[in-house]
Amino acid sequence: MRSSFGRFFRTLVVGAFCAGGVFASEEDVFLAPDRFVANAFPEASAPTLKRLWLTADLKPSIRKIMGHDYAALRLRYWHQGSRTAWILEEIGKVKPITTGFVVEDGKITQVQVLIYRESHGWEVKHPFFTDQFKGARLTEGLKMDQRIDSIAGATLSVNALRKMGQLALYLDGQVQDSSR
Amino acid sequence: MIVLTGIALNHTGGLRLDDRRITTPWILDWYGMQPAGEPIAYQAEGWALQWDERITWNGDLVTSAQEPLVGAVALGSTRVLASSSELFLLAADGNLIEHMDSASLPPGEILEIGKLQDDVYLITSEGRFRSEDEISAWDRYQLAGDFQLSVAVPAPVEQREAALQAFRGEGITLYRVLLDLHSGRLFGTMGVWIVDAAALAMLFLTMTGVWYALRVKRR
Repeated sequence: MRSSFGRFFRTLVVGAFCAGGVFASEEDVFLAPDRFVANAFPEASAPTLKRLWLTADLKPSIRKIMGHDYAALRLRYWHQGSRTAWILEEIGKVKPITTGFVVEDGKITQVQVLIYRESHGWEVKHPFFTDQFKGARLTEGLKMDQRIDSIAGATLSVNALRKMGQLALYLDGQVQDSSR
Repeated sequence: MIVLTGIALNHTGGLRLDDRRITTPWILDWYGMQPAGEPIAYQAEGWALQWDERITWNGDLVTSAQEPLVGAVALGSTRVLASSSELFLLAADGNLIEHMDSASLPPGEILEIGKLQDDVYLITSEGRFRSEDEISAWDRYQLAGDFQLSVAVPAPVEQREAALQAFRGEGITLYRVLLDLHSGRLFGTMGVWIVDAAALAMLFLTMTGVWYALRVKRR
């Protein structure tokens, strides 16, 4: 009895250390940002980089979507016809998650987690989660018109991706309006 | 000590122990709130300093990067900080303008960064590149030696202190310190055992005291 408890305890301790080693990864690059942009415009060479200043006009809506100001003053994007590609960052719990979004005709067509730095919640990289964003549009209340189901144990990362999805749709609307 | 900290912890809300923060350097050092290694510093009409991933500009925390900074240059009102795979564009006041990664950088690992007039120059493992159109495109660059490369310099004491302060943030709560003092955890595993032994000793003294008092009363 005593020895079996000892084995159980040792298993727990060793298991905890192993799990720590597995989950405490530093920075996982799932797809290099340059590859994401190339994939977003497969039919031609990627359009030139454009920049959008997050001006005082845009900030209130961005704050409403993100719950705070965006971490940078300017964003990069790529624009061709009715399609835009965005590389956005938002903190899940303590570290930023870099995610690429492709928006076409006002709806999300592609979501890809590019760089994940958190220790937990990496499940958001999987297509079973990111595919939920496909076809989503922005409502007047700056929300997505599709439900995005959460993942147990990855709530903060899920929320970060939801916010970035809404932000990509909002910013796409802004650049499409200004290019008309 | 155990009694006093116990009483204080029992009144956490009233004493606002969760709101009060300890920033005393030796206590933060005791908790290991000390960045690893030595800071890397570059001067570009201001000080860029990286210490244990965290990057400060003139002492204010700006961002973090896992890879070490390789240089920093000033272009007008913009400051460009380079790590081996990223550029961070800052305003002169330290606000982050933009974070650039491989999607908007030339190929290869960034080895050095330099400047000439209004252009940024990068030396990467794939060659030499010059920025165009306000750092939105890159052109291969053949000439050598006529641009000014950024070089690391020793971090001045005040910048080092400011970076250390930025690393430590707002410190730790008084609640945490008192709790660790109460449990003995502040002094490591041995401290916990000593507090356990003190608790057992108090129980032993109480029981033997009661036993002795009853014995005297019976006589």
